[in-house]
Amino acid sequence: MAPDMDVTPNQVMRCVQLGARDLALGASSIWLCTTCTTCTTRCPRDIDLARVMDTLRAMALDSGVKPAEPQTPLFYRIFLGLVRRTGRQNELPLMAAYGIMTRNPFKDIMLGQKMFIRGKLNPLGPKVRDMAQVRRIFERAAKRDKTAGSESQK
Amino acid sequence: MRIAYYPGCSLHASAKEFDLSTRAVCAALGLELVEIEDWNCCGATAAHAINDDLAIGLAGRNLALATRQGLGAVLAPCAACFGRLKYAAKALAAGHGELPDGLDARAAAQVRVYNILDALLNLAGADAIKRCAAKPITGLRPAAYYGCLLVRPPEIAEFDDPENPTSMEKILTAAGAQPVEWYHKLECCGASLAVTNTPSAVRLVAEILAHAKSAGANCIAVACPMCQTNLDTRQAAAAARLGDDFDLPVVYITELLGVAFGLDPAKLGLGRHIVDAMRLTRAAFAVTEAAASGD
Repeated sequence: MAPDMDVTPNQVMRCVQLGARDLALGASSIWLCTTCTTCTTRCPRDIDLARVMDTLRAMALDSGVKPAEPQTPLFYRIFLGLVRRTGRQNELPLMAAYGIMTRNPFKDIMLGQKMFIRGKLNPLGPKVRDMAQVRRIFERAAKRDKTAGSESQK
Repeated sequence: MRIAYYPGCSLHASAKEFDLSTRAVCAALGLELVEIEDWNCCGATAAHAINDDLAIGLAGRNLALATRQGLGAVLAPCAACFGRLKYAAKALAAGHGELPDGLDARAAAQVRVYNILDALLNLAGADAIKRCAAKPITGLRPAAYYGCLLVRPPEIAEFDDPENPTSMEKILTAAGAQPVEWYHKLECCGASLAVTNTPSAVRLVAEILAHAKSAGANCIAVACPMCQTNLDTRQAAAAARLGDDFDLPVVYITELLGVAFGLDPAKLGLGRHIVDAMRLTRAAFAVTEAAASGD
């Protein structure tokens, strides 16, 4: 994915070392990283680049820096919103919600149709029974996230 | 052997054929799959990309539920789920993250997580696959495509060689297939960006398909629902991009094994793909039949 990035992964790591916070958090790279972990596997200095990218994404959302590829965090939020409500993911409402939110509801409609015909979409996704546990996981993660955020600002 | 089964969300919808074929092939090989009761989404890329605690909590709950059913090993056919479950076990073992009250985090940390290749090769074994392969698929030349998460990052996956894995080829060879030599078995297909940055994903898909084709493959074998969906559904766009016609069925390794085991292709889910895969059942035995008629 490096050819599509404004700051290459090795440069992102340099930004972190140099404290160039806004450059790193505002880079398209952190949202174009597919987490394929090829860089993590090959780094001669043993840097877990994919993990650093995860951290930068979380920091970027906390910091209020406008993401260079806003549709990606939007997709993540819709994805997690569905998991929070039902405990599971379901491609049909996921794609529908993303289409509506990006004002492009027909982007993959032909594909959706083909998948539906082949039984690849499940309109009635089952729900987790013990939703109290799922909600607890989300609440605790949000709380710990906030705590971690306030620590990093000190 | 009894093993907990974590299908994950994809195997209940877009990757239904991975679920069908995994269940059928494991049953034939004597692996008893016990679905984890009340399992939840592993959190996938969305959770770990923005909140580590959420990623550990969501994936970890499933491991804890498996131990409640008295099972210490989990099969997660989806490569992404496999990576997330394995990561959660390691994180919990290291004291990171937490699970809601009533769930045993210490037991969850001890759960052994298997991907489908690991289970087929190391729980069932190549010999058992060979014995079950009543109809060897000698006419198939699959490009074994691993993608990212079956072997990377090596500290999490702890499976096969992260730069040149061969387990998929071993499984396919045991079923009679002739996997091709090629150099894109580990390149990322960009599935996590397929929705949000479609042109980038199509570029990556096109490169993988072009290399598989030039290596002489007549299908692509995968073990990841994200790879399958991306290589299959974006194939037309990738072909248009390169002005080529790939026409490469993208099938789960369990579907190919099922065909070799003589199971009903429709029940394995081969009719569910965008690029027609049913014709592989004819191609699979073409050589055998030609050889037989030549005798």
